[in-house]
Amino acid sequence: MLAASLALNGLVMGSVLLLFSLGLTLIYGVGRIVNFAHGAFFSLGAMAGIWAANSGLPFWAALIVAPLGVGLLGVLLDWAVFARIRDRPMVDSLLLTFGLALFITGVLYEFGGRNVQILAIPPSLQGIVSLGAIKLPVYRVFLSALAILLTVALLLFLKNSDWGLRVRAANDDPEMGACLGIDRENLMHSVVGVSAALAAISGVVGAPIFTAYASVGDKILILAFMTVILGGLGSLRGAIVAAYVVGLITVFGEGYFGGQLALMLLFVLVMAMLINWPRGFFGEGRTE
Amino acid sequence: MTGALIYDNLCAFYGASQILHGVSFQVDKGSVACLLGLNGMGKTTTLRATMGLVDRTDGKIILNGQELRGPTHRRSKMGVTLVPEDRKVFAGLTVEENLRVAQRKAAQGDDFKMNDAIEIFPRLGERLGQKAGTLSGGEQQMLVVARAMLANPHYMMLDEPTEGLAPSYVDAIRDSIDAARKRGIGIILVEQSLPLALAVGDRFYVMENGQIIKFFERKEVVADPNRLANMLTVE
Repeated sequence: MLAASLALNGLVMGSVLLLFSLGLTLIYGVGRIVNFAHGAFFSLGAMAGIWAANSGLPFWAALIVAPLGVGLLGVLLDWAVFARIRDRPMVDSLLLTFGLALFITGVLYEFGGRNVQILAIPPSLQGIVSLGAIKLPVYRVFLSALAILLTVALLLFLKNSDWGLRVRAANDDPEMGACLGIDRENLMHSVVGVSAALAAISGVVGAPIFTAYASVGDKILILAFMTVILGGLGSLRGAIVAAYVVGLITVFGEGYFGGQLALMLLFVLVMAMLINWPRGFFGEGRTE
Repeated sequence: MTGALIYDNLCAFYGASQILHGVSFQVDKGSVACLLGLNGMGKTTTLRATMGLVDRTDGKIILNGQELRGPTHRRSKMGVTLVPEDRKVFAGLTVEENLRVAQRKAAQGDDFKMNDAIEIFPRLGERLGQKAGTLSGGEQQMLVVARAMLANPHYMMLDEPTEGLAPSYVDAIRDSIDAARKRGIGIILVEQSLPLALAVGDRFYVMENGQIIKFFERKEVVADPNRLANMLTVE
């Protein structure tokens, strides 16, 4: 029974990670930016949920307003900040986005993010459903379903729309994409916007489970980096598999051995991948 | 000349290193200009500078009477495109998606469409659903040439398009150059293989140390091919 419960929680964790990591993967793929500020987008989403609740707004309002607001912030940040370091050495984007993450976290700290808070689960998503002998909290089922639904929607949009075709082409080779007329700057604005919105949704729906505070995105950011490394930098299908691998290892590790050992296990796996298979699970990641 | 692609004293830099030292030449619509020379003389840099892919340039490139400047995608939309020497297919996209992502309407005349590309390169038609990264080297070269033509440019730059290809693929590339020329597309061809250059070229520019040191018209080269060949031989 414990294993079944852990497996469910692992899938929930994997689904949130997937939603969060796809944006991280796209931003790296198209813009070659390792975005340390992505965790701050998650924190912004989580805190937006708390602000909405404190203002008397329903959970669903936060789920709509937070991604719109954070997505718009992502577009502005890409236009005002990330665009200035495009094509510069990767260490520049590491330092700049790290500083940006600290800045956003500091702002959140000053606006209600000092204390750990839990967003209340809306009444319609409370309770337990039974699947045979296994009892599942409704909210966790909702969270997984939403994350999977949004991921599938994003992947279908990437596969079937002109925007998605341009994103995938630029993800493969930004320079060649530009030679064929793809406006990488405008594309990146939209990619960062969509990615930030997805991170914000993760933050809102994660707030009842992972809590909400100024730096809540830090832990998930570390797990997301492990996800994109295991999946291969810039590989979308690699990120999908890796998100669930990381989610399941994290939860099973915490369940059987404790949290620190689970993290150590993940770090060993990541180091082994970097040394032996730096292109990730499907061998299609980049190795700059 | 209206419609021409004119290089006027082009200088190009990577960091502090100056690679091009005042390159001047002209390509007319529907003609093929061959840039020839030994390795490291600035041929590829000339093409990359045209697309805005070097750190800095001085001098001018004029296309259809307007200065070609700004970011790479804008230059592409003004009507130039590049087929780079290392092929650069979008490996994760299918052949059909590689072609579709490049498709643009022609500024004048009939559009070059996907069916036209498949007519020139039937092999691509058989592999439309295949991931481009799994194609053979020759098929990838066909794909990048077809992709460039689908952008319906005024000028197409081909960097060593036949390097390492089997003769059947070289013939297909030559057919594509002929087809492009018939549509009025001007071509800059950087090529180590003299036979292809001699077969399709209208003008021949020899580069050395980032400058054009010699220019031949086609009739001069046809009359005495050894004159050109001797300039491209390491002594």
